[in-house]
Order: sequence, then structure tokens, then C-alpha cells
Amino acid sequence: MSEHPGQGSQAARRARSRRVVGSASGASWAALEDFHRDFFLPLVWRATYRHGLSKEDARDIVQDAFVLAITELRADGNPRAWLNQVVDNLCANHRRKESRRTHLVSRWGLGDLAAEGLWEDVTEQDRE
Amino acid sequence: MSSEANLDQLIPAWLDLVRRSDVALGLAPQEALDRAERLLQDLRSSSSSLNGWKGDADEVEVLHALTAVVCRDQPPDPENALRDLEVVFTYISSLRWFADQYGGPGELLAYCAVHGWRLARQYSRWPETEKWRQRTCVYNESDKRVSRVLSILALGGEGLATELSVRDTGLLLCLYERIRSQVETSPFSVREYSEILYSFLQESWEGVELGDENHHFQGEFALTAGTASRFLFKMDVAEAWLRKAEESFSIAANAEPFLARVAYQRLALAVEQRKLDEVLDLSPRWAATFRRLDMIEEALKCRFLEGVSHAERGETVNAIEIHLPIIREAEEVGNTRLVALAAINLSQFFAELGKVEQALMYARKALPLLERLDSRVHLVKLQISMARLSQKQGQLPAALDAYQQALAKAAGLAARGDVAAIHLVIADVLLEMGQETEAEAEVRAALPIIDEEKMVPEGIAALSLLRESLRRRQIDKQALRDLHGYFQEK
Repeated sequence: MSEHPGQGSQAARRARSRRVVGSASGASWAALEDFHRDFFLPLVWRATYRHGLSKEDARDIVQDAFVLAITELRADGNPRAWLNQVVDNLCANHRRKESRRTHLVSRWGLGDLAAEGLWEDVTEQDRE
Repeated sequence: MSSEANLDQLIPAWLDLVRRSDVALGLAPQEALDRAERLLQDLRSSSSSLNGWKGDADEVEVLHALTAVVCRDQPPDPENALRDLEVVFTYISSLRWFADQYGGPGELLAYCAVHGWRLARQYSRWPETEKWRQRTCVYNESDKRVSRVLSILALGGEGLATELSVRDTGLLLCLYERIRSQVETSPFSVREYSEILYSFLQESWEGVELGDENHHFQGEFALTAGTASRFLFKMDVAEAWLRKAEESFSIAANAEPFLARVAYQRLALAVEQRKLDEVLDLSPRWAATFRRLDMIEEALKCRFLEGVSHAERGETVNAIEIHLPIIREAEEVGNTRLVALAAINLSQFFAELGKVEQALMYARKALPLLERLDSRVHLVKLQISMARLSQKQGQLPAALDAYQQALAKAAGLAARGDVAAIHLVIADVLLEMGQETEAEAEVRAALPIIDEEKMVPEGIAALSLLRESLRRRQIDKQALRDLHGYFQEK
């Protein structure tokens, strides 16, 4: 299991805190722990249990939502509701992509290619 | 506690952190789902205690898994699924949360509520559907989004797709609730918004797989447009929208309660069109149907229309007999609006029978309720009723004052038919007070509306009032010629 931001020793937390504070917009470690608890985890759970994604795919989608939030999140709105909506949309896109991929693999017998991890090298154009 | 205000700093810092180290993701999904299944069994058998709840990460994650378990699409047994949703909803809403830790319970409750509404609408009875609809509107965090959609609608609806998705059932329910609640206070806007939303839904559903939900929402917005048109005295337009509502609901599952609501609006329209025999024939039958469907408030509203129709036919005693139990039952079910409307009518009926004390008693009962409901349409009606009482008692200045207040409110509602009729009633009072010139001015103010809206009885009344005014002053035949000319030119 990956390390929780709140699970390390005090010294390690302070060290990380300094690193984060020094490198990223001045947020404290405690604030990041709260963010992990109150925003990150609920969104990961949403993507996992409502949309049936693996925890790792859910984490990636939530990270993508945060990237979008940097430019798109509006000050006048409800950020939690906005993030929920974006995660829902990204999950729907992810599932559509997965379903298309499964269909193509079964149709063209590309199972070996997928199993060997070579699928990602096939261009979108080739797949179509 | 994470501050939403600091997200612009926290999000970049978080992304920076995650680039360099892993973060905890919680339980393995299968473990959370297994624990959720066990919790559900306990909740079904009422053996789960709230005392053991600590509200830590694992427990909240299990709740997320639990809501996913009970909110599955197309469950094999919808009745059991609704029972599960009920126990889970009740359990989550009774847990103690520390503000928005782990996102708070609102999102989980809203998710259950939307699923409950979907299932109930398709498979269950009206009170169940209403219960889940109300819960959705309480817990869905859509207030700001609803306001933004309404702003777009106020500007004609351009760019609506940027704020509204046909997949967002919770938002659509909250939007519908907000718009419907304004039908009496802002019927013009409500009709406009409902028309835009109906077209938007019709154009946007193509290719979206949502079962019959599209037809349902089209039916709801068509019904709202029809109701608002009725309030605006646009009878043909109202009829056309009610037909669209009927068509849309007919295609949706479990349509009977929704079609019955359209039938109620048709009855109300028939009252406005003075098809009183039809209303007296159909109202008791629809009231019985509504009771069979557990739609008690709608049953009372049908009886209300029956009472109104009796009153319109001059059968005031029958009207009172029907209205008295309506007030009692409406108070029992907590329908303040219906209590207020029945009280206004009773005030008028008793006034007609010359029972001034009882008339005033019911007027006083209605007034604070209508002000609390901000029901301007009915405040107009009540003020007219109180003006009539004053007129009957010979208190003409008080009557004039009350009619003028009613006129100002009706003008604010853009209720042109009412405005014209009140101008004529004011003209009548002014004639009684010997103020012929002012009376003429009132009649002239009503004429363009009477003409545009083709209000034949009011047109005849206007001519009679003008003739009376001219006869009293024995003058100015030119004014009468001008009036005839007005209608001939048109």
C-alpha cells in the first residue's frame, strides 16, 4: 500500500512539508493532509464504486480532474460539485475508451498484442 | 478541514506532491464491498448500531461502497431495492459527521435519493416518488448550478448545454422544482423557461441512453408551461402544452399519476373556460382516481374545482359545503397553499350570502398564508374579494383602494385579462362615487387589452359603463363616437 500523507514520522512529515512548501505554492503539510482526506479520497471512492474503476485508474482520473481545475474551476461555483461532475465525465470517457478497446481486441484478435503491453504503441489511426 | 477558498493553492501543491510520491488510496475495493454487504445485512435486520461509528477513512469508504451496492441500475426486484435504499439513506443521515470530512454525507445521500426517485417513478406509488424527489432537492448540491441555468434561461437559453446535461437527473429535478415553485409568482418567466427546457431536452436526448427519463422530464416541463399559460389566461397555448405533456408522459413508465396531474390541469382550464358542466361531471371521478393513487392533495384540488364550479353557477351553498372539508383535510396534510385558496373562496362565498363576519374571518385566515407563500396571483384575488366586501357595505373609498392595490399587483404579473377586468370594476366604483371622468379613464385604459385579448363580455361591460358615464354627464357624444371608432378601426 502506498504511503498516506499522514502516516509518516513527524520528522519525515516536516521534511516533506518543507519540500512541498518550498516547491509548490506555499501549501502546508497539514493542509495537504486535509485535502487528501476531504477532496482526493472521496473523489477516488466516487470513481471506484460508482464507476467501477480500479483504484489506480480512479487515482489517475482524479489527478486529471485536478489538472483541469487549475484552469477551469470557477471562483463563483461550488468546487466540490464541479469536481464531482468532472470526475463523472472523465470516468464515462474512460469507460467508453475501455469498451471500444475491448471490442477491437476481440474483433481483430489483438489479445497477444495487448497482453505483451504493445497495445499502447498502436496508433489511434491503426486501431480505427 | 480543507478550505474550499484555498483550492487554487492546494491543487498545484497536491499535484506537485503526487508527482514525487505515492499517496494512500484506502481499502482494496473487494474488501470494502464485502464489508458493505455485511453492513447492509445488519441494516436490513436492524442489528447495526450507530454507537460504533467513528467516521474514519475505512468506514466512510465502506459507505461509498454501500451506496454503490444499493444504487445498482435495473435491480431485479425494484421493491426490495427501494427498501434497501431506505435503510441505507436513513442510516447515513443519522450518522454524526464532522462537517465535510471525507466529503461529508450530502453526496452519498443525494446519490441514494436520485436512485430512489428513479426506481420509485418507474415502479412505485406517487408518495414514494414524491418522497425521493424532495430528498433529492434537499441533498443535491445544485443550488448555484440551478441559479446559473436560470440566468442562461433568462437570456433566452443560448449556451444552455454548457451548464445543463440531460444525464444530470439531480440537477434536472432541482431545476424543475425551482421553476415549478414560481408558477404563481412569475408565470411569464416560468412559461418561457419551461418552453426552452422542453426544446432543449427534445434536441439533446438523441443518442443518450437514459430509458424513458427523457420523456418524463419533457412531460414535466410541458406541464409546467401549460400551467403557467393557464395562469396567464392563454387558454389555447395552455391546451397545446397539456397535449404535449400527455404525449410525453404516455411514453414513460408508470405514467398514471403523471397523466392524472395533466387531467387536473385540464379541469382547471375548463373552469377558466366556464365549461362548468364538464367540471362538475369529471371532478368527483378524478378525485376518486387521485385517492386510489394515494394523491390526496390532488384529490382535494379536484374537489376544490368542483366547489368553484358550483359557485360559478350561483350554487353558493353547495360551494361552501364542498370547501369546508377541503380546508380541514388540507390542514391535516400540511398543504398551506390549498388552505389559503379555500379560505379566499369561502370569504367570497360568505360575502355573497351577506354573511360579512364569516367572510372577513376567512379573508383574515388567507391573507398571512398568501403573504408567506408570496402568492401574488391569489393576493390579487383576495384583495378583489375584500374590495367587494367593502363595496357591499357601502365603503366605497376602501373598496376603491383595495381594487387599486389588486390592479397594481395584477399589472406586475402581466395578467392582462385581470388588469382589464379590474379597470372596469374600478370604473364601476368610481361611477358610484360620482367621478365620471375618472371612470371613463379607467374604461379607456382597459379597451386596448379587451380588444387584443378578444374579451367579449368585458367589451360589452366597457361599452355599458361608458354609456352610463356619458348619460350621467349628458355630454360629449364625441367620446362615444371615438370609442365606437376604436373598435371599428380594429
